[in-house]
Order: sequence, then structure tokens, then C-alpha cells
Amino acid sequence: MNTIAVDTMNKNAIVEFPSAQNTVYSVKRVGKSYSGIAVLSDINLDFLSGEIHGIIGKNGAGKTTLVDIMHGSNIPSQGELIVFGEKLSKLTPSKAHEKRIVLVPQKTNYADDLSIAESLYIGGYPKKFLGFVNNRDIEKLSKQILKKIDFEINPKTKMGDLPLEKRRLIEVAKALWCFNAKVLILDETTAALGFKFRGKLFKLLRKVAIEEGRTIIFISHRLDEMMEICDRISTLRDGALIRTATTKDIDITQLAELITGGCDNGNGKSKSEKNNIIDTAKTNGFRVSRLSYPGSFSDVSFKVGIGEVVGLAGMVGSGYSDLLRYLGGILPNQGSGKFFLGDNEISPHSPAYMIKNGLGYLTNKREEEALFHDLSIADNFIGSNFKKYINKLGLIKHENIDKNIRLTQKNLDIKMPSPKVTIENLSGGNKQKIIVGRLLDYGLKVILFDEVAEGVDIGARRTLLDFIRNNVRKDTAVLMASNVVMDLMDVCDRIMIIFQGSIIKTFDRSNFDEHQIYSSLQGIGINEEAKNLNTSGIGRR
Amino acid sequence: MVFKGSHVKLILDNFIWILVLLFLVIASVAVNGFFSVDNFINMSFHSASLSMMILGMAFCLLSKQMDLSVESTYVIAPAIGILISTRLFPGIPDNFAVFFALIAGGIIGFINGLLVVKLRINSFLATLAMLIVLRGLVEYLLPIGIFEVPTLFGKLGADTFIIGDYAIPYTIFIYFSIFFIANFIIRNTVFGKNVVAVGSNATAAFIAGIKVDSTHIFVFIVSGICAAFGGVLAVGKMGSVMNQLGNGDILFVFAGTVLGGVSLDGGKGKIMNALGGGLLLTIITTILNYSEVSPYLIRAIQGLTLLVAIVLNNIIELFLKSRISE
Repeated sequence: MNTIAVDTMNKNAIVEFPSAQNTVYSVKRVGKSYSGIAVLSDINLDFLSGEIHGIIGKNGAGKTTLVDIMHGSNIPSQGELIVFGEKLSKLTPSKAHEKRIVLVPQKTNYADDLSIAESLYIGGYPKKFLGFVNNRDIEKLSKQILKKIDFEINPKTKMGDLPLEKRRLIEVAKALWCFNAKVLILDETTAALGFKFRGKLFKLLRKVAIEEGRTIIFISHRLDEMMEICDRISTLRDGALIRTATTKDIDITQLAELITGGCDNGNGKSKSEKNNIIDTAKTNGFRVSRLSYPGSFSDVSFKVGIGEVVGLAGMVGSGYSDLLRYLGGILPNQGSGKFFLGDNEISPHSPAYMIKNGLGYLTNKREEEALFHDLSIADNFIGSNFKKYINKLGLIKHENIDKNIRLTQKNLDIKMPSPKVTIENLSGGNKQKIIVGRLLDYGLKVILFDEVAEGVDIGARRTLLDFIRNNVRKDTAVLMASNVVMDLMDVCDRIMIIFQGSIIKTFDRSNFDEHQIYSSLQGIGINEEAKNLNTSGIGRR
Repeated sequence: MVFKGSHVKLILDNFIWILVLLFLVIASVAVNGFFSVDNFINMSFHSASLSMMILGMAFCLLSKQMDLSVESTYVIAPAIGILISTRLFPGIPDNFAVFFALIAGGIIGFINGLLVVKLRINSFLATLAMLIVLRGLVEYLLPIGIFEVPTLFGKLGADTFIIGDYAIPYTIFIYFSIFFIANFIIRNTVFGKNVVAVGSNATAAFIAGIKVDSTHIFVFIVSGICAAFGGVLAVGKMGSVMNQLGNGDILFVFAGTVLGGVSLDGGKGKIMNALGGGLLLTIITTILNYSEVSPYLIRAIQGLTLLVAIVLNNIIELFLKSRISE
């Protein structure tokens, strides 16, 4: 607690003398639109030296676009950027680098076989005669840098041997001392960090901001850490800047309100739909009791009946993906607790086994884990679902497959030429529909959707969600996980909130309220004891 | 629009046959004595045993595995078959050797499969080790070779029937039909579909409920049996099993498969085109034999031709793809 007290004092100190801070980076009237649709409009932001400035918003609020523009990897449609007093009409990543604007991206491709020293200096080795690299020199320099972030570790250690958390910190250190960032942009750097490392990172950020006057732009989904670390927080909603607030002037509930736009938003679901909800006690889809998985989720119990769509809302890293992957048989079977499919207890050892028993899983990584890129639409549609498409000799009845693809095409409004064309000819939304169609074609009792509407256009999203609500729900038990609250509110009969690996709250369709749901998946309002119980790192990997 | 280039795709998909035709036409014009029915029959005949190994490799590559051990299986399987039926069980008809040879090939494939799937050894390394071990074993079993082989070998590998003026070996019909059947299996059976799906994206296949591991094991078994049958044909053709039979052929197996458009990335390629790859290699060798090239240069020229063919393939593919996406 001591450090926090000290830190808060320092924060106050900064706010007291705002005149001592100069604007280092201004974003003026910046907007971005794609084929006429604005994703960002009229953004005005000033970043001061020595401040930690948070940018927050829901998925699709425009954070990523703004960050890309500020870092030069995306060109704004309108507006200008002023960097250290210089007006730039066109910023490129290399120009940004020159100006010492450094981004630590959300996902980094670490070269596992490089040592810490090498990965710190790669791309900028100290120049030596004939281009030789003096390993001893860079190791010495690396040691100094590691000391600054308080790491006692040999710089010869391979990056691949470090846990993700340490690699993240080293990335930050690289940006600070190898690239000498004056403006450091951290894009969801904390998403992968546990509590201990977050504390460490925050202390470091505070220090370089106050003592060295660097500007830190901090992007995160998590309100609590925003409140803890930032001097000012800018909130984006639907591509517009809602407010830039000094952190000490607002509290976390107000911040959540800024993000979601208050209580009224999206609560227009007619209450009459309530009688649509089928009594789940009678029709057993699946149920889990006291399910735990090391490092992911703990003591999870719930039930989903046939004829019901249940949402699982959480932040990335809260454990919802792992829960679905465990139930689908994708994760190694190391969980404890009970899992009943229908009336029988089942142990999920492989996807093939689970599908045979009537449970299917849709991955959230469509490109990597669902698609066969080189194969035809028909082959992608089939997956392993050959049972109903082979004749007595074991030969495939291609006409029947085509017939069912056409049926799916009609149901899900898929735009495609012949089923023989390779799937890569389709748009993201249509690919997703084919994969969903595959799952539906298995004739399953239980379907687990992980981010069913991610990375698809608005039209496809509408079609998929409506089809799940109106058709799939009839004879299937559906569990739908997402970090997009609005999607879940559209489709689900109930929404369970998963926070740090535990289900902390459940909302019924009649009580859906975006603001409340959003707040609780952030962990706001759950009692402090429960929160502390879970701070042992569960749910964060 | 993206879908315009259907005829472009047709060319791309059958590019190997265009190459085969091109080489045949050029050689017929340029090389004296090349153009004759006998020669064409001969080339198809000599392509047989290599093509069988290519077929096995095609299955492996389609599922994104490799099987380097085929060239050793190619000799040890017939050797074991003959040894079993003549030495171990002298009572049974010695033509059973063919059957035992295929079983031996299957078992070798099965072991390869277990090494790759269960012990998670990279298939390149596992089958490389197998290649060396089997070659060593065959040298131990057959200090020089077996010079008397059961009659069935000769029937399959060398006997001919007469149509008009021409003697046509049965082999040609046998291995062409095997390719047709294999092509049919890939397109129309669950196993075939799974092979391609697993090769295209193993994770997606796993999540979609395909049994990835057993598919891979089966692929290695198929590859072993194909190589063993190739060996049977070769032994029949020569009337003997020499312990150096097939030594070094693996490079040509790879060359033929890749020439046939079966991608090393897995999931891409057509079985019938792999047949074309094998034929093209044989055509190139024949051309070199006909023309008065120094025998010491033949290998170098083979390699060079291969390189040119592959580069040509890539260039045309890139060119056509850029035209499609416009």
C-alpha cells in the first residue's frame, strides 16, 4: 500500500502544476472513414510531457484506428498531427520512430531463439568496425537496462525461456531505453500481465513519466488499472471523443458510464420476450459443476438448457475462452469438477469425441483454427461431418453436400459462387457463416460459440445473431462467449459474467442493462473480499 | 471480380501435363529416333516404379508429412517378402512373396507413423533415420542380392501382351489404374478428404473433429505399401533384388512429386498430376540418353532441368494469379 500512497502523491504533484507541462503531441480534428463510413470523427487530443494519458473505449470505438494514426501506420482522412511543434500532414512509422514515438503493440512476434540482449538491440546494434557486433558490449548495456526494470537475469537468456509477462516488460524497456521513446504508446500491454507485474510496470511508467518527462499513452480495456495509473483519461465511443477527464475528478462508475453512454443504451428489449424463455430445468442441455482448470478458471458451475442461449461475458483473459476450449475438448483434459452432457457425465478428451457426443465448438481464431484455406467451400463446410454424406460403399455423395450448402446459403444469406470455389474467395463474414453452417450441419445438441461475430461485417453479424436467436435456439443449448456486451444482449436469455476465472454474476434477459453488465465484467461493484480472493492470478496468463 | 479466371485455373491445375506435352513435342522434333510408339511405351514402363514411390510421397505431402524412407522400403520390402516365402516358410507358394512384401511395406509405414505421431518426431528426421536403418539392414540381409525371384514378380513387372505390332507391359496398366484409384480415394472417400484437410490445417482439422493422428498414421502406411509395390515392379523388371536398388532415388521422388504440383505446404496438389511429374522425369532422362550428352553430365542436366521446370511453374503461377486478382 505504501507505494500506491507515494504514487498518488506524485500524481497530485503533477496535476498541481499543469503549466510546467508542454504539449508534445497534438491530434487536431482527426477523422478516418472507410468507403464513406466514419470510424473516427473530429478527434482533438493534446498529450503533455510527463503525463500518463489513458485511452479507453469498447471494442470498435476507434481506439486501434486512433493508435494506428498516431503511430503512422494508418493515414487519417481528415485533420493533422502536430509533433513537438511540427505540423505533419503525413506520418509514417519510420518518421514516427525518428520523432521517438514508439509503439509497443498488442501482439509481438518475439524471436524465441534470440537472447534478451539481442532482442533489445536488434534493429539497432551499436555500430562497430566492419559491422561486427560486440556481444560483450551489448550484454553490458542490456544489464544496465535490465537493472532499471529491476530484473536480476543473465542477458544471454533466450527470450523463449522467459514467461510472457517478462517479455512484455522487456519490450517496454526496449522502447524506453533502446529506442529512447519520448512518446510511448502501450497498446493493451497489461492484458497479459498478472498483478505483480502490473505493479512493476506501473511503478516504472510513473517513474519515467515524472523523472524523465516522457509521455505515455496507455490503452487498456480495464477500468481499474486506468484509474490507478493514468493522469488523464480520454474516452472514445462510436468513433467520437466523448471526454478527456482528469482522473482525480471522476470515479470508476462515471468512467464506465462515459464508455457505455449511460444506462438507457440498448435496454430496449421488449419484456414480452420473457415468456419465450423455456424452463431449463426440464430440458437438459449440459451442466457443469465446480469446474476448475489450472491457471484459467475456478469453481465454475452453471447449466444451459436446450432452447436457451446463455451468454458468457468477460474481458479477454478472464478465462471464458479457456472454459469453452476445455468443454469443447480442445485443451488437454486437466480440469477438475463435473461436466454433464444431457444426463451423462462426460470427460472432454478430444473435439472428435465431443462432436460425436453432440457438442460442438466454434473457435474465435477463424483464420488459424477453423478454415482450410486452400480447400473448397464444400470441403470447409464438411469438416468431419461425413456420416450423413456417404453411401454404403463409403463413397461421398457430393450432390447431397451441395444441396445442404445451398440450404445453409439460404438460411444464413451467404454470398458465394459455386461450392467448388476455394474458400479464400469469400469475405470474412461469409467465411464465418460457412464455419457456423458446418457446426449447425452436425446436428448437435450443444453449441459453444466463442466470439461468433468477431471480424465480420455488420450485415453478417446481424444475420448470424438473428439466426442463433430465432433458429438455433429452438433445439439446441447454446453457450455464447464474447467481450462484446451488445452482441450478447441481442441474443441471450441470460448473461453470466466471468471475472478473473470465476462467474460472479448472472443477468436475466429482463434485467439486461449494458452499463451494469459492462461494469460487472470490469469487476466494478463486486465486493472487495471476493476480488481479493481472486487476485492470486487466476484467469490471467 | 475474383472468379473470372476459370480457364486460367484450368491451365494452372494441369500445368504439368502442358510441360509433359511440351517436352515430348520438342524432343520428337529435335532428337533423332525419339518419336516412336515403342519409345513412348518404354518411357511409360520405366516410369512405373518411381511413380509408385511418388504416389506414396504425394499422400504424405498432401497431409503435410514427408516420407524419406520410401527408397529403402522399395528394396527391403521385396527382399523380406522373398526371404519369408523361400527361407522362413519354404512350404508355401513362393508367389506369396509379393503379398509379404506389401505387408512389410505397410508395417514400415506404420512404424514411421508411430514415430511421427506418438513420439512427435519431425517426419523428416524420423523417416531419414528409417531410410538409413533400412538400407543398412538390406545390406546385411543381402550381401549382394537375390538373383532368383518368384514368377509373380516377373508377371507384374516385366510381362507383356501384344496389341498389333506392339508389346505392352502389364505394368503400365497396373500403375495407371492404381493412380486412378488413388485419385478417386482422395476425392471421394472420407480418408482422402481427411488427408487433405489435415494437411491444409491440422489445428482446424482437429477442432473440426477429424482424427488427425490416425489419419497421419494411415498416410504413412499407404506410403509404405506404395513404395513396396514400386519395389515389386522394379524387381520384376530386373529379375533380381540388388541391395543397392533405389539408392539415391529419394531425390527424384521428391522432384517428381513437387513437379507434379503437390505442395510442400500440405493440402495442395492432385494425384494425377504427380503421375505427370514422374513421367516428366522419365522423359527428361530418356531425352538425355538419346542425345549424345556425356554420361557424366546427365545428373547435372537432370538437376538443372528440374530447377528450370519448377521456376517456370512458379513464375507462371505468380503471373496468372496476378491476372486473376485484377
